[in-house]
Amino acid sequence: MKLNYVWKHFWLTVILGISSLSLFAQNGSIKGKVTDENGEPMFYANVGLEGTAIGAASDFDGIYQISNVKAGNYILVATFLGYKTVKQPITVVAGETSTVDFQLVADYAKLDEVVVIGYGLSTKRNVTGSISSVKEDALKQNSAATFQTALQGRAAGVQVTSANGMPGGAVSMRVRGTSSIISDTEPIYVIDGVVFNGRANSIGGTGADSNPLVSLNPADIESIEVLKDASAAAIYGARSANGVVLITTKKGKQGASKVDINYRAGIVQPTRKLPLLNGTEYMFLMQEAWENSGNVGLAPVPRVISDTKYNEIVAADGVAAAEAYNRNVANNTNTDWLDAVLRNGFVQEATVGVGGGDARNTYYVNFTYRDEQGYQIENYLKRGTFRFNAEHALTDRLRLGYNIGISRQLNKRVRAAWAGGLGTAQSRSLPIVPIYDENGDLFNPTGGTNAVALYEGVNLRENRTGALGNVFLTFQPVKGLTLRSDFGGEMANRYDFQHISLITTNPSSEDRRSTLQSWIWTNTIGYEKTVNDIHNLSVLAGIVREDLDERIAGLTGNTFADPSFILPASGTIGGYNDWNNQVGNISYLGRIGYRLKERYMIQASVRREGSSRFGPGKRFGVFPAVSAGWVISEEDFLKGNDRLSFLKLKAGWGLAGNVPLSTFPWIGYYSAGANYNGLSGISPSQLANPDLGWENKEQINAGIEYGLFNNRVSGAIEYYITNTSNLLLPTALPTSLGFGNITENRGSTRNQGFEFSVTSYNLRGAFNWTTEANITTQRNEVTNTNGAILSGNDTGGTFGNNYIIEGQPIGVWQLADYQGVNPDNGDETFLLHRNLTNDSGEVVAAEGTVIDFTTLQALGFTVDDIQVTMGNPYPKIFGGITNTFGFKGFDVAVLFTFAAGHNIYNDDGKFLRGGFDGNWNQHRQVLDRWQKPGDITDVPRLYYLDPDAPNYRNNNTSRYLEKGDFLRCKNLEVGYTLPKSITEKIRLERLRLFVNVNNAFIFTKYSGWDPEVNRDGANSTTQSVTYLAPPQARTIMGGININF
Amino acid sequence: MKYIFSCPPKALIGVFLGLVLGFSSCDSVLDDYAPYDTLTNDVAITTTTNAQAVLVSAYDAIQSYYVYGGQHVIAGDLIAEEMVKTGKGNTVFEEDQLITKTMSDINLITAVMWSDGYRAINRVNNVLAALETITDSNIEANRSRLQGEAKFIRAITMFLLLQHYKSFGQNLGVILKLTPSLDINDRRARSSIADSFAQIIADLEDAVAKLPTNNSGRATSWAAKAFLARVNFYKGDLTAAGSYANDLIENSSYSLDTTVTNQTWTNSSPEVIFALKSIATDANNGLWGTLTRTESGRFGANADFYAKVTADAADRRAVLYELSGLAIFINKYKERDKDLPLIRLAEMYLTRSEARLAAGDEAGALADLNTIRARAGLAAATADNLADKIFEERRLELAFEGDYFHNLRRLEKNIAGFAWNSPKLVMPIPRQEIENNPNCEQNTGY
Repeated sequence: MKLNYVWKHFWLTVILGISSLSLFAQNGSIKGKVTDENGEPMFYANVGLEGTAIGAASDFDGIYQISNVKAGNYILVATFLGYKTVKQPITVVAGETSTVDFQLVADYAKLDEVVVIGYGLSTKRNVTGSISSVKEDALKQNSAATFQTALQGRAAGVQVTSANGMPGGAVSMRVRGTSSIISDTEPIYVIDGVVFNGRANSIGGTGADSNPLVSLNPADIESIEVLKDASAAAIYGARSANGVVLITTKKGKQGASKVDINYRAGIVQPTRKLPLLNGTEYMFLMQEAWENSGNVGLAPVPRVISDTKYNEIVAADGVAAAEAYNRNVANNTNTDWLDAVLRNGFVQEATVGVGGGDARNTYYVNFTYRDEQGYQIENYLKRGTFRFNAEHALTDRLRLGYNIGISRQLNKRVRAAWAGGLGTAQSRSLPIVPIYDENGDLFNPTGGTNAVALYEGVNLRENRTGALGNVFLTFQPVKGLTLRSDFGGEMANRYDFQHISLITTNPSSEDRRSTLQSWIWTNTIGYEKTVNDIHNLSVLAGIVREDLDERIAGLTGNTFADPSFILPASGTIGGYNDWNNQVGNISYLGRIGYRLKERYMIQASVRREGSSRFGPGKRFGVFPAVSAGWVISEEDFLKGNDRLSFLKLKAGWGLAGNVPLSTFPWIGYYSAGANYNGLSGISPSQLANPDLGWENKEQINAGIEYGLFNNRVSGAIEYYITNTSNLLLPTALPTSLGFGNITENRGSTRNQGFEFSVTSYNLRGAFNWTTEANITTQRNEVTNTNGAILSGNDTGGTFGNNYIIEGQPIGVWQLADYQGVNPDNGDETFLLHRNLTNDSGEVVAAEGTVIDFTTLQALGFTVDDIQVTMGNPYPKIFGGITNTFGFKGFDVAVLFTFAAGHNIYNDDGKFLRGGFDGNWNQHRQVLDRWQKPGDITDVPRLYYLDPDAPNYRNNNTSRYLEKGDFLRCKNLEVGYTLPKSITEKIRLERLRLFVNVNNAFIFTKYSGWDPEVNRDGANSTTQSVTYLAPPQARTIMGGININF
Repeated sequence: MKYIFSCPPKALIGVFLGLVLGFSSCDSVLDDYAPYDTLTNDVAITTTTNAQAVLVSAYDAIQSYYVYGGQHVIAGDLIAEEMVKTGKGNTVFEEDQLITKTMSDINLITAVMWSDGYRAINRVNNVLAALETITDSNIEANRSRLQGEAKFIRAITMFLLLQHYKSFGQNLGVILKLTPSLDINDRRARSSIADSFAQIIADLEDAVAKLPTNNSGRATSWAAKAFLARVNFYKGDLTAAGSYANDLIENSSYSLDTTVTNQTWTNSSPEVIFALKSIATDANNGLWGTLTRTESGRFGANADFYAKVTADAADRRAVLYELSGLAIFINKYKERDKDLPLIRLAEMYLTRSEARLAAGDEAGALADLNTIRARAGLAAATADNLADKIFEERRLELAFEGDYFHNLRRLEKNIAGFAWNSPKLVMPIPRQEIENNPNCEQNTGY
């Protein structure tokens, strides 16, 4: 206890700078003990005086103490997450200490749990929209650098996919499906009321994006609420169409200062390793392919040695000697490039959090440092974050608070996919290419075939320093009326740097500096009044003004005098550019809610929002929403029923908006930069389209929330349907106009599905077992494009075989329908879905027949001519199951996630699974190739350097389209809390040891790296396509958690 | 204990209401946001300075790799197989399609030559339209020159497109786009080959009239005349072609560059009539990257050509080709920052030579041929088989400068096993144009 006292005063004096002398004033006190239904003391339960900010949290022994209370009558309220709230009247007498003990009973359905809603708070019982909450407990298990992955499998309707397992890699989140094509599809993140505007990396050509949200420390977060339907989200107007993620950071609680120290460390490794050929196999298959192409003799070996070396030998001894030398190197090499570039990375994280306060001041401070090596060599992320949240009662009616997070991170990135070392290690780095030469130097680093050289030769760094926070003032002139003014913002400075050496004879570098400044000012007036415990009325009105200013300037340079010089200006300037973006929004919002007898509830909201992204005539959008609920279980005929202990019916309708990603897509303008011969030029760069307006997403949500057996089993079933209209789409123009396309509102999409969630307290007592599960079904359909068919390339993606087609899911594929190998000749065969006709209209091959490549070619058709629409990039069903167990000091939590009903296209399969000519290594699948007539296999005959043979590399067929179904043990944590008898001796309140495994294991038939893939970040058309993308990471960590 | 803040509640209500209502009627704050670092259409070309700047962007546009920055050479030479793969680096399938004469209507090279070409034309059309309305004090001194440059760029861009997209069987040339694109519903049809030539020649003739003879690295009247020689040559009007070539040879200050031992002309070479400028901070010599051995170097000369250019040991042009293994690298463009010549005096001699021969002036034709041969270090030729000799000399002299493929078709010679007028040698109109422009007819075979 002495330690607590020291800490408390240290923090209160040093950090707050405010004396805590008020604790010793001449007033009354209240103290007592809080226990659970089994009589065990409850740690950190909150006991407070209703209608005031005065209160305290209980310590590890369940003891709370509220000092300095003015004499009078109060209602004392005890709350604890997951327990029913207990209220008790009390009279405080000056100079005396009253004792009030509480025994709290578990509220399994957590109906009184606070839920953060737009511009306010509610309780689970009263919410009529669709909101998923994820609390601190679940966040703690997530060992990744970003909080987003903590939502994986834990929130119905929310699908979270990491692009890859690289530290600080991009993460995409979809709330109730994908509805936009070229507008943003990610939800907005609102951190303590501040809209997050961070942007991914700005250096191009790196093959993967970084994630700006790693600047937010997950350990700072108390709860995450995902507003999923329009009746919950539409009050956020702009961009709320994709859902709103409200993040509430931790606040200090009244009572003795609590210190929470966490340290964890472990290893990071790839979840799976792609099986590739070794050198012997490669040479053998190359020879076979060569002979298959009708050749005799030895197959020509790809050039593994450098051109310089080759030409040297040619000059000295002729071509034959050079070829022989090259072959000799190839024959005597057997490199496992994946092993050369992958590793077990070391990761560690230390967190110190301190929170506490008294009746008038609370504070919370957190410092966290994380150092994470990726599973690839040369790849790491270091991050330090500092948070300081505090709230002060200036008077009984006026409160001032602030939440400030500061972060600094260094992401030593590696290029990924087609641009990166891991991509090269599985492709152009053939197993017959050595890593090092006889002198121990990198072998032929400039040849594009040495994956290790790509890591060592590309120094890619992202330094980011940012601060995000807000300051607010609330004023309660009379009971129930709250005025709030909240000013927040974000500042971020980023320095992206890339230096390329080793892999090029002319080293170059790029330097980009970005600044982001945003502010948001929210002013609201809220009024809430309960009359006779029957009527509850709440009203909210407000104005929000937002401003965003981003600037990026970049410089490239090359031709350095000496390798020591790496800054662009030290060499010859290759180019420079700068960019600026400014966006403004102004919104007026209102909401009114009414509850009758806590049984019938209705709520309506509207937001009128203007965005500078639109032209004068289309600038403002109005986004209304209405929802209602009926708690049937409060009706007389159900009240007190133990089996059906809670039942609420709810339904909502609303309209949400979405804006284009570009800043001024409606205006016709000229831009600079088309320079010639040192003269600055300006050129027409966008055609005017003043009619461009908001995308509208109309949403209907209906469902029930239920509790069974005294709420031991509880959950919800919801149905949603959303129709997005005025969908922004690129309209292709005839290029003879001098422009390729414009953006128009001319399409629509629909998403619908069910969400089921259940929480079951299977066992309570000495052995605790809880199961939480959620399942989401989704069906996504492009309902109208005005007849246009758009490919992935048309919509900003990098893969052309995904399409936007009416009546199909977004990003459906068009591929030739592969039907295996013709046993007679080893050809690929395809099922025809239409008649093939010759120039005179005669059918030369009928629909429904299976045709092999040779026949197809003889008829004058290509594989592209017989493409058919197929597949679905988005899972039809996904979800998660968490089981938590507790026994004595042990706790175990296991999270499984799954997704099914979708496909993954291995765009690299064309090269990796038979495309020998690209000088790519091959997937071990090709060992099953067709070899002789009669062979039944799925892998066609191999060819090498054969212009007449099918070039598998050019043909997009369903051979590479696989089922993406998986069941993954996403997270597994086993902890042990030391008995109190031991911790007391060392003056700790709690000490817990744990082991945590992220992405522990997976069940899937998918043959690539990892079925959780994400191409082009947020681009909705080219999801579930992978091209040499790095796999997810498995993280195995052990840690210790100390509270005092 | 007294708190620092003890404002009376009424004052605070006032402050709050002030904050909340402070935004009333403030929709107009959004008017403060305007496109940054751009010029909106209404004000973009209202001054002579800006008209010049837009014209600069048109030069930049034709410098595109897919227009006069590289593909003006590579596309034709790949189709004619004068240029072949060296085996170094990977070719992409768009390039392979040119080589195998299996171009698709989504082939990137054919699609972007069209779109980038028309992008340049649209820029020029914006300048020409604006020049009619600008009234500032500088306009009178510059209008004529700016019109001349604009028409020159429009003409040579349309000519390149005509060379590759014209369909003989259908008698279809290019879309004659002469006004700025402002209406997104504008859909134009293609003109006949003759009308296309007529428009190009009219633009060039107007440019000759309006351009100065010297224009600091930009289009000149001489450049326009040189292109008139080339356009008429390919139109089949050898008389006009010869006449313009003669004007260049006799009356201009250009002369054959004898100081250089290889033909990678310096920027100040007296022989280059018009070149696209390339400077260190704006290097656009795309041929440098594609052809130079130390760069991508994925295409080189074919063996037949190499045998011819090395047949006479005295031929100074042989040093431009570098045998490395089985590959023959082309070193005509081996400096990154150097200008890319589009037309030079040697072509005028060869054009005049052929025009003289057609007009019956055999001696004059031979003299022009031998002028070129002498510069290359070769002995004078004799008059027998003169037409063939001119053809061969033109192949060697203007090699990998975007002439050979078109010359083969002009002379109705087979090309890599295809008849000169085979639709397989003609680029397809890009699918995006066909799908979105019902008035634009596709070439036969696509």
